[in-house]
Amino acid sequence: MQDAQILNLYTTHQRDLLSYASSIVGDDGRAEDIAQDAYMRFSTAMSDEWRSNPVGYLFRIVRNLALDCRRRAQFEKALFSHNVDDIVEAIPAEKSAPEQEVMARNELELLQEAMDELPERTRMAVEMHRLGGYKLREIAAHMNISVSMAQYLVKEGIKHCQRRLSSTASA
Amino acid sequence: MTDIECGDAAWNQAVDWLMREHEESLDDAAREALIDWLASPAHRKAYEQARTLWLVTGLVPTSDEQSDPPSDDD
Repeated sequence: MQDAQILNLYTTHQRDLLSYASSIVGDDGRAEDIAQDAYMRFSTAMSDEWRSNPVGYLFRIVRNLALDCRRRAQFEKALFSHNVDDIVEAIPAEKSAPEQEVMARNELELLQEAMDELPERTRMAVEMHRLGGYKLREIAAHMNISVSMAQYLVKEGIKHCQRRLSSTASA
Repeated sequence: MTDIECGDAAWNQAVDWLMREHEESLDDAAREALIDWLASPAHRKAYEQARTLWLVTGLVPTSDEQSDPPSDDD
């Protein structure tokens, strides 16, 4: 996909993306940051190949970034209110845009490889959970397995992804 | 073998917390329990690592997005 097409697609949906992000994090300023981050990640992922549902993918990126932002904000607030020291150390330093882009690209490639390596059932459970946003009982029902088995499969898959990322980071 | 982090109990617990949150929003008691758990710097580090992984695994394009159009949106 060409840069102009990517930008065009983003600007077409920008308003909806912003209100979607804002509905999750409850803050317009944060929503702006999320949309910008999403655009960077989206253009990184789209530059190499065409994907059939780019709009759905773009919204999913915004959703995941917004949920993560909300989770982070909640915890920072909770930790401050409980006087937990040295929180700053736990918050990663801001990286420059080119650095972020390289990291995002490498991560995506590695994770795609890692997911491709998973046994079929594990991969299906992880994709439904992490990409489809399904809950464990929905995955269990769809795959005709128990909820605890669904949980086990998702966790095994996530572990494998962590192993792949950390083995590269420390190599 | 670079399995240290995955074998780490704190990392496992952090993933359990994230999975629990994905299933249902935490009630006050659970949130308190999580905050208590996060009082340890080692736990916070594990949680940060797991949270980042959690985020990036959600950003991978699906097999559908790489080939056939999905039947419905998520």
